[in-house]
Amino acid sequence: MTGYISGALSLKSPKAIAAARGGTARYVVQRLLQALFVVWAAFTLSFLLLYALPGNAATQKLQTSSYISQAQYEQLEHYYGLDQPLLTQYVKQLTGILHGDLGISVATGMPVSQLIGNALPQTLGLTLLALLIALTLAFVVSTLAIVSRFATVRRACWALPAIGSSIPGFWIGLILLWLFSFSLHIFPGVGDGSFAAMILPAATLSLRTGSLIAQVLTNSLDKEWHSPYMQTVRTVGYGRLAALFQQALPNASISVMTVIATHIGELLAGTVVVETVFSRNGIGRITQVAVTSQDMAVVQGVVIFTAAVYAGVNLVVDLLYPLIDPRIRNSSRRGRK
Amino acid sequence: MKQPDTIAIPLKVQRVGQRAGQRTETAALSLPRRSRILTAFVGNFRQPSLAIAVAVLLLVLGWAIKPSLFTRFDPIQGDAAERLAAPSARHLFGTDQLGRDVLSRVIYGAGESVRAAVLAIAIALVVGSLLGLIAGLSGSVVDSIIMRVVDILLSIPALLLSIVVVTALGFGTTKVAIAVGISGIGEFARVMRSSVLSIASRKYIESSYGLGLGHAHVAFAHVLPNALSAVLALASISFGNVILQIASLSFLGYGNPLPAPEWGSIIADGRNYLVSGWWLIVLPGLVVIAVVLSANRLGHAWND
Repeated sequence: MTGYISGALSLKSPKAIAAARGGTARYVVQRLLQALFVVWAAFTLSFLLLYALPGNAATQKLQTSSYISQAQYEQLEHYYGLDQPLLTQYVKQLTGILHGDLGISVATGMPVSQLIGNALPQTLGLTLLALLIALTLAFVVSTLAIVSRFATVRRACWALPAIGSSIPGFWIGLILLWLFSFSLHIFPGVGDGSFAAMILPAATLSLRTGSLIAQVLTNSLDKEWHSPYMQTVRTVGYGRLAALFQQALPNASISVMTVIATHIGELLAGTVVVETVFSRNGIGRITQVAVTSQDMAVVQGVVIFTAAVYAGVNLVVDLLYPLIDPRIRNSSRRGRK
Repeated sequence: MKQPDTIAIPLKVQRVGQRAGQRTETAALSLPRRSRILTAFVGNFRQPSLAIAVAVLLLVLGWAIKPSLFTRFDPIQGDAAERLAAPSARHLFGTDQLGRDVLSRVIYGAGESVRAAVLAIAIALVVGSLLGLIAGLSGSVVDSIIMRVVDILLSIPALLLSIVVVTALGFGTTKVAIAVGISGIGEFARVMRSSVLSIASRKYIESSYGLGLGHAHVAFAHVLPNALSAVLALASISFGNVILQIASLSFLGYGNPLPAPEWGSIIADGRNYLVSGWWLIVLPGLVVIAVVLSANRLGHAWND
C-alpha cells in the first residue's frame, strides 16, 4: 500500500546459513520449492477470489442478457465448466496449468496461454526498457543527492523521489503524450512496433519504480557515505565521485537488487495503465480488456504469469546474493567448516 | 521473495528540512500534554511544507463534506454554449466537452475519492490488524500459516490484486475501495504482527496471564492498545498511495460510470480532447498530485 520497502536490506540469519551448510544444491532446491509454492499459492488465491466470491459476475451477465435463452445459457455454463462444484473446477484448472493449459478466454475464444504468449514480447521489451530508464534516472538523482557540491541540488534530489511516487502514472503518460507526440511531434503517438514508440511508455512506466529505487539507493549511499571507512577512503586520495562509485556503490547495490526483485510485480502491473494510455498491445492491454469483459480465465492467467515472473526473478536474485556479497559467501563457507 | 528466516534491517527515509522540526519537538516533550500539542501546532509553521500540506488537506476535506459551498456550477449538467472553454476567471479550470465546469467536477469528485480511501484503509486496517494480532499471539503453527497467506498477498502486486477483485465483484467506486483495501491487508498484518510479537514478550503481558485473564481479554485489552500505534502510523502514510490507486482504477474505468464525477474518470474522459483541451487533463491531475503529496507529507510528519 505504501509503496515503500519495510525491510530492504536483509542479512542471512544463522538458520539460513545452516541451511546453506548443506551445500549449494540444497539451497537451490529449497529456493526453487519456495518459488513454486508462491506460484501455486497465487493461483489458489486468485481462484478463490474470482470463482468463490458471491455473485459470479460473468455468469450473471450471461443470465440477464436477453438474447440468450436459458437452455443456451446452461449449455455455455457446461462448456466453460462453470456448473461444476468449486473443488472440481479447482483441480481441473490446476492439472491444466501443469500441462501448460491456462483455459480459454471467454471473450475471444482463444486459449489463454496463446493470448499471453502473443502479447509477451511487447510487454517484455517495454518492461526492460522501463527498468533501464528507472535505474539510470535513480542512479543520477541519488548520486547528485550525495556528492553534489551545491546544497540546493542535494536537497532537491533528496525530495525528488518522493514527488515522483506521488505522480499518477496515467497522468504523466498523458502529459508526455500531449507534449512530445501531439505538440512537438518528436515521438509517434501510437504503438507501431518501432523503438521510438516505446520510449514514452517506458519512461512513464519507469516513474514509480525509479522513484522507489532512488529512495532506497539514496538512503543506502548516504549510510555508506557517512560510514567510518569513508573517511579512510577519502584520506587515501579518492575523489568524491570515485569514492562513491568504487567503494560505496557496490555495498549499496544489494538493497537495489532487493527492491527490484520485490517490485517486479508492480512494474508488470503498471503496464495495465501504460498500455491503455499509449494504446499498445501487451499483457496490460489484455488484462484491461479482460476486466471490462469480465473474462476470468484471462485475469487468472495473468496472475499466474505475474507470480511466476516474480518468483523467478526473486529466485535469481537469491541465488546471486552469495556471489555479490562476500559477507554471505564467507559466512556460509565458515559455517561449512 | 519473503523469507521467514532472514532478519530485515529497516531503512529509515530521511526527509529534507526535518532537523529544524525535530529540535522543536524534542524540546517540547518535557512539557505537559496540552502545551505539547499547542507547541506542535505552532511548530507547524516553521516547516512551511507541512503547513501547506495541512491547508490542502483541509480544503479537500471541505470539498468532500460540503461541495456546494465551494462552487456554484453543476457538475453533471453543462451549459452547451460554453463547451471546451479554456480556463478563465469564470471557469478556473475551464469547461469540458459538455460545457460542465471542470473545477466543480473535481470538487464533487473529492467526496467519492475521500470516502473510497477511508473505506479502503479501514478494511485493510481492521482485517490486517486482526490477522496480525492472531498470528502474533498464537502458537507457531497458526502463526506460520497466517504469515504464509500474508506473504502470498504481498507477492501479488496491489494493482493486480485489485483488478482480480474488481473482475469478481464488478464495477463501482465502493467495489474499487474494497479491492484496494483487500490488496493492503498484507502490509498491515505484517506490521501488526511484529508489533504484537515485541509486546507479547514483555513482562506485563506475562503477569496478565498469571492473574488468570483469558486469551481474548489479554489480546484486546492489553496487547492491542499498545500495538495499535504502529498500524495507525502505517495507515497515515498509506493514505496518499491509496488515493493514487483508487484514481488509477477509476481511470481504467472500474469506478462509478459517467457522468458521476471522479478524479480518475474525469482525466480518462478528457483523454479524447488531449489536443484541444489540455486543461481537462493537466489541472485535475495537478489536484491529485497535490492531495497525494500533502497526505504523504502529513502522514510522515505524524509518523514522527
